[in-house]
This record gives sequence, structure tokens and C-alpha cells, in this order.
Amino acid sequence: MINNDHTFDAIVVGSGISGGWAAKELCEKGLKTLVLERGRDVKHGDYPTAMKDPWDMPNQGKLTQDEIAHYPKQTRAPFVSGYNKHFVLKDTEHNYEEKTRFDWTQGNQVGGRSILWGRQCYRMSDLDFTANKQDGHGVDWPIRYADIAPWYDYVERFTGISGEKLGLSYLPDGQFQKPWELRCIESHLRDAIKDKLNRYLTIGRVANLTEAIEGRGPCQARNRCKRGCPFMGYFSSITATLPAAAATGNMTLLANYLVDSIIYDDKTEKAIGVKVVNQLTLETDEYYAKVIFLNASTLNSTAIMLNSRSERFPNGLGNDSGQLGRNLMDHHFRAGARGDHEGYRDQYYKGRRPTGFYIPRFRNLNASTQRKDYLRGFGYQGIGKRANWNAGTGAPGIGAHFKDQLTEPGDWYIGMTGFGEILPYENNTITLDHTRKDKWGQPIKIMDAKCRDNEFNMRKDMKESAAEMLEVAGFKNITMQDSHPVVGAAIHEMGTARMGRDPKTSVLNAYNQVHAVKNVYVTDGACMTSGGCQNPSITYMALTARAVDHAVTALKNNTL
Amino acid sequence: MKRRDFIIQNAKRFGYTVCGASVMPLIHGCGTQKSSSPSQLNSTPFNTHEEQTLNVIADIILPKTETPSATEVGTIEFLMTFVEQVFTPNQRQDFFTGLTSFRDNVQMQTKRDFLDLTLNEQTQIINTLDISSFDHNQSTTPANMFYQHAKRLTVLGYYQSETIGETVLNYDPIPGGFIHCMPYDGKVMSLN
Repeated sequence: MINNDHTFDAIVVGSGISGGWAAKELCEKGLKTLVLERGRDVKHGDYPTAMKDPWDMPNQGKLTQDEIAHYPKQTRAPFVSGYNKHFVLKDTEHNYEEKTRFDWTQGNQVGGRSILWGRQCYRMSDLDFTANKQDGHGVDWPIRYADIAPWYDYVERFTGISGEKLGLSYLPDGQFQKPWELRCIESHLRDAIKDKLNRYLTIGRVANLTEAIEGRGPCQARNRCKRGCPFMGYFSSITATLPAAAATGNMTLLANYLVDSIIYDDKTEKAIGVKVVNQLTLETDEYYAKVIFLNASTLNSTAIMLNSRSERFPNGLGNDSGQLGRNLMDHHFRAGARGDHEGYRDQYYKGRRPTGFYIPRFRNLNASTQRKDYLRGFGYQGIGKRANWNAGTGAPGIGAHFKDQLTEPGDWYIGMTGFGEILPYENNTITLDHTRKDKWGQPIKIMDAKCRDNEFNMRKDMKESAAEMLEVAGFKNITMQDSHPVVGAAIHEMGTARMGRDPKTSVLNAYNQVHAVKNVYVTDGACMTSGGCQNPSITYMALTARAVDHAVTALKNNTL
Repeated sequence: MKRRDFIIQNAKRFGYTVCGASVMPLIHGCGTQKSSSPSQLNSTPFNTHEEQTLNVIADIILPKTETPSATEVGTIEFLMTFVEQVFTPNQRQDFFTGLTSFRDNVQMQTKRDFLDLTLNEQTQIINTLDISSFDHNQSTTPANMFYQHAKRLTVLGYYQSETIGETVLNYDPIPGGFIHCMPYDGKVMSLN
């Protein structure tokens, strides 16, 4: 049954941020690796809008009603635009069902959403890895910070993260390139909140290269990252990990192949390969390998497992616990504040810095910062700039004077939003409707996830504390913002195949192996046991490199 | 109500605005484009009279000084395409109903068509409409709704036109680096 050009040492499903890392690590350790990507092929340089100015774009990059008709769900979140629509899947072709509103930005292509990502990179700490154990929500992480710390070091050095060291135990420092600098109004806020509230503000830790790495970068401060970067100024699979994997000669990359399911073998109690569908021709095929890495993105990896049904696993591969598809998380955001400042009118800046500032979590760190009204915490991301002509789109004034006003910089302002943790709720789920299939024969995904009291109580603090900080720093016209939190909107989907210590209550073990099928590793966001409040991609990268190291060692020792 | 709050509120109401650096859209919900239920009103082409009226209004908002006027840089072409293609059916309806209402109001007040008035008279009318359109204590009439849309698109179309973006403002497509703080040198940055 096994034919040679269909047999590899390893298969990686997905080529996004974690799949790229799995490919690089497996190939560099000498394994013949097949990377399957369901979307089209995209190579570095395939960035049609990267050099376009607003006046080069139809309607300055706004989608027309005809285009919006293809994105009825995704246009609810402010992400897809004329500048990036070629990297975002259409709802009309990749639809899903919602029991509660779920904003899902899907980007299937070689490179996945690593082409589009926000690039903020913050390590998780033992405050996060012990959180479930401490307060009893979810299950205990099977790892601690010491297990992952060397792998953060390892992936950060290759990825290229710029940032400032703060020495905080709950937001560990990393292997940083030189940081971007704060604008003067942001330094002003930093000094005021340190002085009056003992809170920190630092420049965003971001995967934009302030120093070149092996021909990548440095970043040119254009702030057009989400269109793809001709200068390779930021980290993505197609600029960094996939080229590294290809350079070994060990990688075979197949675009346009989606994985239908994992093939489980009862005799060996292992996975032996995957069943695939060519998304263009709809032809099916099978590929085989000794080890399989699932990196199809949180919801797609879990969907593949749920769809991998056998006599042994009637409810999906590795789903002995019944937890597969449960505990879906994201971060909740868009609760914060903004204000104007009258100072620094003679100061300006040059260039478009590709990151904002970050205010690390300051709640529920210890007894003295403990809140009675909610568990866990949040950090802030924000930006301080001077207003520009855009203010004139909604303000009174006409004539020469109005025009002159708009060609001068306006007041400085700062806006910030919290990014808060969502607890792992068992009833926040993805399920499949096997009775209805899409055009590729895949069951329809059903999303059902919402924020609850803990998140709503936290949001109140998120906006009030933001306003408080602007207040102590002397800002005027302070307004608080809040909006109904929608799971998925932060594009940080996590959980649904959680790691844990006990096969009865979790799907993956401490090395991201499916408890009952040890040669299947899941190292994208699906593995997350809790979400912290940190942007999660760097954690997926570190867990992936660590899992590959484990898998390759196990293969050598014949223990897989 | 302060100017900027008003801008934010308006942005939410209209469902479109300009997105700046990456974090601000998160805060302001920038770029949300709600697709409303389709109305009976299909894409309405602008007739010559409407186009001329918009030309006059745009050049009153942004007249020729040492720098070009609104119409000299293609602002109206941008506005008309945007209304036809990007606006929801409801927004489009508001726009055209409001435009008609504006012309009727002028006709009633002056017994003449807006286009037949002197520039001075036209400017006075637009100035009054501008004040009432951005005064929060006043109820919003169809003419106000039209004007808010028209002004927003005029400013967008003007400052993000090639001429203004590349030659009037400080056009810096590849900065090469970031200077976090420097004395203001008299030229505002073109790109956000």
C-alpha cells in the first residue's frame, strides 16, 4: 500500500507560523518532511499591494459592497481590506456556522496568517503556567516556565524580536534586538504612571527586525507589514522558516492540499499518515510518515482531529477525554481609553514605527494587587501620535484657514486597549456537523463561544484603569471605550486540544503529543491550556521547536 | 462634546473612517463596514447638476490657496466612486436624499438654484450648513447627513490624492528608520 513518493519521515500540516517552525526544525534535524498547505502557493515577493499608496488603490483600499458580500462575517472585524484581501479567505467559500457570533479571520496560503500577523511577542511566565492550578479553572499546564524558557531563547534568536528588558518575573525578558523608541508623549506617559501608579510602560516587543538577520531586514519603518514586506522587515514563514527548511533539501512543500483526516492504525496504535484533498481538483490521496505535526491553525487542527474518526476513536482522534473542541479561548480587547495632551507642540517624529507601546499586566500578580471582582489579568497595547488632517473628516470648519489647519500636526493623543485573558470554559466550543459538508467534503464547523462575567468585570477595570493612567499623566478630553467582546476578534484563537497531565481531562501531553497517539504532535494554538493575556505566537513557536526536538529524539531511540 | 469624540462617534455612525497605525483601529473599531439589508435604491449615477454642486461645495471646503483646490486633485471623482461602490445602500440613499433636500432648502430660501448663487452666497450657505452639521445639540436633518458624508469624503479624497500626498505633504514612502522625537520642521507626514 505504501508507495515511495508518498512516504516521508514526517508530515507537517499547515505552513503558518507554527507549521513553518515545525518544517524548519524537522528538516534541519535531517527528516524528509512533507509540508501540506491547504491554500495556494505564496512566495516571498508575492505582495501585490506592498508598495501601493492610498491613491494607487481603488477607493483608497476600502472594500466595495460587491467585495464585502464575500466577507459578511469577516468585515465585522476591522481586518480585511483592499490591501490584504488576497490573503484572507472569503466567507462565501469558507463559511462556518455561529451559535454565538464568532469573528474568524481565515488566511490559508503558504505562510498562512504569518504574513498578516500583528507581530507582538510576549513570553508567558509561571504566573500563567500555574494560573489554572491556582484558581481551578481549566486543568493544570503540564509544563512550567523553566521547560519552555530555553526554547523561547532559541526561537527568538532566529525570529528577531526587538524589545526592551524590564526584569519582570511575570513578563520575562527575551533575546531582544535593540528596541524601537517611544515617542515623546509615550515616554511622558511611561514616566507618569511609573511615578504615580508604579506601573510599567515599554515599547512593544515585536518581530520587526531592527537589525538584519541573514539577509532579512532591517525593517524600513513603513508600517505596511500586513501586506507582506519586500524588505523582509518582519518575521513570516515565507521569509524565514520555510526558506530555512527548503535549504536543507529535506522539504517537500505541497500547496492546495487540505488534510481531511489522520489515518489511524489499530495494530500499531499509531497514526500512519493523512488523507488529503486537492482543493482545486477535489482529488483525494494519502501520504504516510512516521510522525505527524498538526499546525493547521487552532480551529483547523482540531477540526481535522474531530474528523479523524475510527473504531478506536469514534469522537475524533485522541478524544478519549471528550475535551477535543472544548475550552476555546481568545483574548478580549477593545476596552480602553484615549485622550489628548496639550504639551510637546514643537516635537514631531519621522518614519512609521511598526509597533505601539505595551503596558504589562499589573493586576492579580500577588496579594497586594489582587482583585475581588475578577481572576487573571490584562495588558495594554497603545499608541501615542499627533493628530493629522484626518481630524478634518469629522470636524467643523471650511475654507483656507481650515485647509491650513489640517496641513499642520494636531495635538498629541494616546489611545490604548487592554488585551485580557479569557478563562478556559468547557462550553466554549468548536463542533462539526458531519451531516453537512462543504465543497471539499469537509463537515461544517459550528462555533459557540462567548465571554462571561469574569471577562466583563475585567473589561470595566480595563477601561477605567486606562483612563486613570491618562488622567495622572495630565491628558485632556479623556474618553473610555468599550464594545461587546466577540470571541475570535483578536485573532488569537487558542485551546480546543489542550495540553494536560491527565489523559482523562486533556488531549495532549507535556510535549504536545496526543496522549493516546504518540506520533501525532499538535503545536499550534490548539494546544493552549490557558491563554494568558500575551499575544501567543511566540509561545507556539517555542512549543513547536521543543516538540520537534522531542519527536526526533524519540524517533532515534525508537520510542515513538 | 469635544471635537475628537465627535469624530469617533461619527466614524462609528458612518461605518467608515481612515485607519492609522495598527493599534488605533482596534481602539476605535475603525473600518467596520456593516452590510445593511439591501434597499430598493440601486446605484444611482450622479447627474451633471449633482456633480457640479459637489464641485462647488468641495472647493468651498478646500479652496485654492498656494496649494490646489479640492477639485483640482480629483476629489470629486474619488467621492462619486466611493458613494457608488463603497457606501451601503442606506448610506447611498442618505446621501442622495440629503443632496436633494439641500438643493430644495436653498431653492426655498433664495428662490434660486445653488449653482446660480454668487460664490459669496454659496460660501455663506455652506458655512451655516457646516456649523449645524457638526453641532451636536442640533438634530440632524437629511441635508446635514448629506453634508457630513460629502465633507468627510472631500477631506479624504483631497489629502489622500496623489498630488497632495506626494507633493504637498511630506511624502516618505521608505523612511528606512524611525526617529522618535525631533523638532517639528513645518511639514506634516503624508502616509500614516
